Amino acid sequence: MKMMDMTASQAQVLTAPYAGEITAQQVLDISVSFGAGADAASFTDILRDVRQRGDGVVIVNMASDDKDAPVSAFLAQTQPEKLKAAFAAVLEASGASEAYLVKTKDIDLELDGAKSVVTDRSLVLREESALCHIIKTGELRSAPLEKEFISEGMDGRPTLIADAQTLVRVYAAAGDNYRETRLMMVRVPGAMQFAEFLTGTPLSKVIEECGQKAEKSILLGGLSGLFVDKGDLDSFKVDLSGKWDFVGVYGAKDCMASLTASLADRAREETCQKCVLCREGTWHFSNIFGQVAAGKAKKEDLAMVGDIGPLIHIGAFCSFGQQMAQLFVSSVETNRDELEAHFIRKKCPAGVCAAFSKPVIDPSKCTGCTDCLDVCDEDAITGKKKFIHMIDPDMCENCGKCAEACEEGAIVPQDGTIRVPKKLVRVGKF
Amino acid sequence: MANVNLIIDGKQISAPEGQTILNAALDNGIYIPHLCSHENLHPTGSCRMCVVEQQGVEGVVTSCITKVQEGMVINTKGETAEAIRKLSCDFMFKTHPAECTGCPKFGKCQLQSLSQYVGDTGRKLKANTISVKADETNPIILHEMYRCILCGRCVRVCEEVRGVGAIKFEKVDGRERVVIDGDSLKDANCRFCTACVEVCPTGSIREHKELAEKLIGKTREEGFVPCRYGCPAHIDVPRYIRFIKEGNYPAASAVVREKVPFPHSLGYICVHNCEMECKHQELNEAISIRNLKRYAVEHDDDSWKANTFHKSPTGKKAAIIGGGPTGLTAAYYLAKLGHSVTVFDAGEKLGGQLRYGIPGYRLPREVLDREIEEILAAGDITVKTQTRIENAPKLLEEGYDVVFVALGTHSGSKLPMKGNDLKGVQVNAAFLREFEEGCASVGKKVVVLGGGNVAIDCAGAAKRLGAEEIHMACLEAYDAMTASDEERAWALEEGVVLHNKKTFLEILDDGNGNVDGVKIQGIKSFYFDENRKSHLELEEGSEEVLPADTVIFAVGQRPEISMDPADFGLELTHGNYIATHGDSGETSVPGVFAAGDAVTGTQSVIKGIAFAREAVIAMDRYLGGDGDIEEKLAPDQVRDPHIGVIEGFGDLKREEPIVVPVPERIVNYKTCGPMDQGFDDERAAREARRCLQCDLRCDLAPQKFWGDYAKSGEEA
Repeated sequence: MKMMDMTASQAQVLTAPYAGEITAQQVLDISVSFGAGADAASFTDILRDVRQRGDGVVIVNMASDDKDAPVSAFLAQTQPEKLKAAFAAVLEASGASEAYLVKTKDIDLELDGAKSVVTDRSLVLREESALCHIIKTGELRSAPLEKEFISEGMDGRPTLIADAQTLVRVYAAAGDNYRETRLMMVRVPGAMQFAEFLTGTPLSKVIEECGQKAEKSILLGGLSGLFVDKGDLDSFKVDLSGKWDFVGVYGAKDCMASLTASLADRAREETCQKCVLCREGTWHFSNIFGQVAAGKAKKEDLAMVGDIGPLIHIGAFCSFGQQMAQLFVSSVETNRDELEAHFIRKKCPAGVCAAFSKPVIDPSKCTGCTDCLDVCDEDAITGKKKFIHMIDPDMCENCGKCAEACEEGAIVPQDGTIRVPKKLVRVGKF
Repeated sequence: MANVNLIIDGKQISAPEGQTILNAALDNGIYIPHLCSHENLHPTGSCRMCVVEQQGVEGVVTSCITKVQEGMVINTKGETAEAIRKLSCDFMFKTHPAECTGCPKFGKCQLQSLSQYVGDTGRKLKANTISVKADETNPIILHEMYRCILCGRCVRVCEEVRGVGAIKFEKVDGRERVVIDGDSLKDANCRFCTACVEVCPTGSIREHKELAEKLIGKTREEGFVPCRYGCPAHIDVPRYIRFIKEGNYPAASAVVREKVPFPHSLGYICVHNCEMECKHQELNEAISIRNLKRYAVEHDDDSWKANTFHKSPTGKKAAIIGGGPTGLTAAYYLAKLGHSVTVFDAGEKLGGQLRYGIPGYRLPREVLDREIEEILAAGDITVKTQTRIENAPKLLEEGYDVVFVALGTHSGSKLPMKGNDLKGVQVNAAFLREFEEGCASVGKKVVVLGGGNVAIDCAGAAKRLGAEEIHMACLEAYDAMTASDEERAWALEEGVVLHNKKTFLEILDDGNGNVDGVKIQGIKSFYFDENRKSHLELEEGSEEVLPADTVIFAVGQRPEISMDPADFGLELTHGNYIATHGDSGETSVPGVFAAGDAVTGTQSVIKGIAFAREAVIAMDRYLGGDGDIEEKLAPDQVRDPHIGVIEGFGDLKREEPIVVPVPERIVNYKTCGPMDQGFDDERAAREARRCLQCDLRCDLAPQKFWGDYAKSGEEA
């Protein structure tokens, strides 16, 4: 995948070059937040609280990124000095007696004074109780044991949890010219790249600065986010919440049904399966959207998403379950026409879904041998010796026998790029 | 701890600080559905059934993990909370077999009960059942995980409460399951405590069918602890084994003494019904309970005596006919209750079958004598040996307020067959009595007829008297013999030849009126009809003769009383046993009670003791007392639910006692001490560790259903 061309006025705060160590005192003097809206909390307030109460725990969480937006791995690779410097200052400022770095296998970074805990990447680890549980037991589980109630901190001790981006932000805030920005992965048709925007930038501007135009709904936040209707872009402004990890812009050749189905499959893989609503909810979503992409769903199936989704959104144990439910509800709301096209019109408008992509005979490869014509049970292939054969997509049942019979490898799925003759043409004359 | 005030469903509630909303509600008669929550386990909040709405809080809160706070206003029946509950219930049911009626847990399933409570939504969700086969390969515990709804109570109880962790969550083909942490439960170091069975809300983890059936009609205490229930005297076996494990042997011994006055003798010779019920047999062999008991008693320090009860004299007089284990048990408790007791016995010494039926090489006489001495010291007990009472009710006329008949069965019987009065024919009871008195004799070739423990004792005694060849013949097949396994094994060790599935045709005459042999014949099958008459199917042409100069009948014993009911003064059964009604041993004459072998036919010492206790209760009440003979002699015990991991626990082998080897125990039987030497320290410690501690299951909270809370709510 090629890098996109970022031309516009992006911020460079988190991605600025390393400028030497920072001190604990500097960290205590600044003010940095994480989260947004109701979840907003002051990192520095918690830091001061941990310091004051003593015997605290610092946890650096680099294992809960969205698979499509590996911000932690990116920062570990590009900004290791800043992460180390910020962590050292934070650890000293906190006075904590214990520290952990929870990370994934692809992250080599080690932090002095922190025990490394290597685990699989999972959005469930955004749940603080799950993070504590994996440190203690190695088991992924959002539903905690009572003794690990996170409201009282890990083991009831004052606990500070920071992700990679927050640490880099702390580093930046300790220096000059600090502005609040968000590092995010932007995905546009055919390209992906990390980009950094000032908080408060409207989603429309983000898309515009990436040289794009919203043709379909925008996926904000990946698996733990939501689909934003293209008419609603100005309601969303860059903030520090997790949904600004990822901005997905989709075009005519991106299928929202297969995208949603793959997100649902991922949700099913990532759920820790402890809470009934998330465990079974992800199964049903994966099942329903799989059926949609295969053209086998019914209208009631989408209605079912609208029925169970909001209840899971409210009722699931942890934020992972709640947010993934919202994602699937929003997909139905914003992508309804495209989803329904799959099972009502039996058509994938983007031409992506394998279930609807009928084979074509590549005129440049066909030798006019009639082998395919002989094996077709539907008589969907027209042709005669030395003439380029043609498949009638309306008659084709997509059984695949013709492709097996063709020794030239001329019969391939129509990906929209293969031009075919409309009437019989001699081999070599098209 | 301070209390906080909150409102649940409009009701003002004061709940202890730190309590969860769920428990505060339940304690105040407000039912909130819940499933993964269990009284003995840390809550996880995973089933989503207990969600409630809180004023000022968006969404729902999980009541099983959220603690009460001052001023909280909770609504348990809000529309959103109820809709979430229903969805969760729908989801769980879609993973679970749709049919409830075929499930063994039908009617006792918490999921079923819960779904009835929350109601059917009619939501058309696709079924997502789990395809995993039933696993019947493990002992005791059966897994049918296709019924599992992943509440995790089994995993939590095994891990948190027991500290074992034999089962765990694992993703199998992308789907969470509860699986064994190993190839089998034994491999996973399961302690087979069945806590998982106890907490499973559905039919996923259960006992095997035959074990489950044994629970029917019993209380939890009775059903869960089969050794204690199986013991006629209900000695609290797991409690004393735990004391042994803790090294507190006097306490262990005191537990035994809470129910029986002959703990040491029983340690040698008890028929151990407890071991026959022991669930460890499902793994390999029963716990060697009797030997543990003996070990504990041998390490007693008499500290129990400080706790035993002695009531003040009542002025009532009790007569006891028979100084065997049954009679002496009654004497012991009646004396402790303050009654004045006189024991009559026809023998020279007290002890009954313990002395005259069980050979001294199995039960040392100093052990027996010491226990009898202890019993006689319990209160006002007068002993009149060599005194045969011909008529029981007459003692009432002689001034006794109550009479207890515990004659035992000291009259052996011969089978009606040709040659049964030849010289050299002996009978079990008389033979063993003579053996005890030192005047028994046998020839060189002995045939014992019978297959019970008494027959084995006769064979063993004959061996020690110098018999060179000993045969035992009985109707039963080897496995069906009433003699216990270990006694049978000892007899075989001593060279006794067994002839199973044989009937005895006649005793052959050598022409001079002496025994010359026994003619026996094989049988295919036999049964006893309702009149106790045997019916045999003979094996043609299988007659054989066992050469013999001595034949000992060991085919049952009867009370030594006149066949005429008028003589003894009590109604008798057709077998000349004393007729009683009820468990209390009341006879046909008011004021006369009876128990033991004379009532039941030859049984066991422990049964005699158990029946005597029942009779004492009835007699004390008859005499105006309260009949309370319960006593707590042992100190309090803390049952630690955290049993932890023992590597290879399921395959720990039963410890065998130290036994004097054959030539020594035969030749020097009078001086070598008891042939069964019991356990040494190491064996006792190892054996005590094997106990499954079935009683721990009683400490887990019983499963409740919403109806149960409704009831307790009304009471509150």
